[in-house]
Amino acid sequence: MCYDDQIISAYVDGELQEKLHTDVKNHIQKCERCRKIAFEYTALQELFTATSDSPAEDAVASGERKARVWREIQRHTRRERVQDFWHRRLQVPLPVAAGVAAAVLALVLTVLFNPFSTEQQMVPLAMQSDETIESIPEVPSDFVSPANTMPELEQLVRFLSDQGAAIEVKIQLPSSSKIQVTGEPQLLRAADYRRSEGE
Amino acid sequence: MKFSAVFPALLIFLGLLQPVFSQQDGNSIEELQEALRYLQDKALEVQIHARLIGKDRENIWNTKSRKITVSGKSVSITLEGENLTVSAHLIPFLNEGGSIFLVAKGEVWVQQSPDEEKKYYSTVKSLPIKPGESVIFFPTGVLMDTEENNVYTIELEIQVEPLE
Repeated sequence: MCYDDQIISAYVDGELQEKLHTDVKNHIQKCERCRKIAFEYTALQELFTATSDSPAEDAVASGERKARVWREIQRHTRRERVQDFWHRRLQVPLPVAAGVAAAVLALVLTVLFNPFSTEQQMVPLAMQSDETIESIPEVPSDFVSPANTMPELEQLVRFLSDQGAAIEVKIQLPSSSKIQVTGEPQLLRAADYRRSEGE
Repeated sequence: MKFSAVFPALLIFLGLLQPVFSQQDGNSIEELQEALRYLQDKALEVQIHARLIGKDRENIWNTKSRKITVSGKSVSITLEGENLTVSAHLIPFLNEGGSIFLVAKGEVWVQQSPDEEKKYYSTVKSLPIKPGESVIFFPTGVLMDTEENNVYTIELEIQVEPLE
């Protein structure tokens, strides 16, 4: 009759009483199955009890193993965090959300509507004239805004030359003034005219 | 309030795009400034001194005006009187040497008395001038001595020079 595995284990560990120990020993010598079990327990015990020669080396090896295990754990958890970033949900206070939305809106408006329109660039030229001066004629409604198409120099000059006699001065002569028409219009150099007047 | 993490990513993306648009703005500003410099080089200042000359060549009324134009673009002056309307078009051309060629076109609609029909005169005159030189345009003819009161001649003294 074979012994129970736990008894064989106790035999290997040397925990049996002397008589039972002897009986089991005798049986193992005869029984191949029990001898095999006893051999496995013995091998396992040797594995557990195997130690290095130096306790200090053991402590270092143990520390390295712990560190390696910890690094592995961190690596796995970090990968999980990166994978979850694009799907996680953020808690944003309402005022902050409103501020961010306003900033995005301002950015989009800046991109869509170019603030450097031609009209603004025309200002310095117009400002060179004083209050009595009319500036360059107003841009007609059918003129394609340079904000949409890049203003080519030639286009600009052509636009100005196509405006015809747009720069106009209106002078109201004093009432009760009767103008004398003495002949056809004349264009004379002032110096020549005044010289002839003097003579 | 909850948002997906895609929202800040979109914000960052728009922020990255901004310099691209800013670069385009910079280009258009440079081209505009170049165009303005070109126009300023061709810009001319026209000073007009309109006078009414009466009996004994007395200067009885005058007004001054100053206009900025570009070479080849006309400045129109309209004078509205009791019995006439004068329309003078001054077209200065800036030559490469810096001299100016002035073309003056005069149109006059006049009714000397209520019984008469309205008459129309039109003439074109031209004169090469130096920058700043004074020329006088008589849209209704050169001044003549008159003994009548309240009968006047129109005199437009014009100076054209490059805008500085």
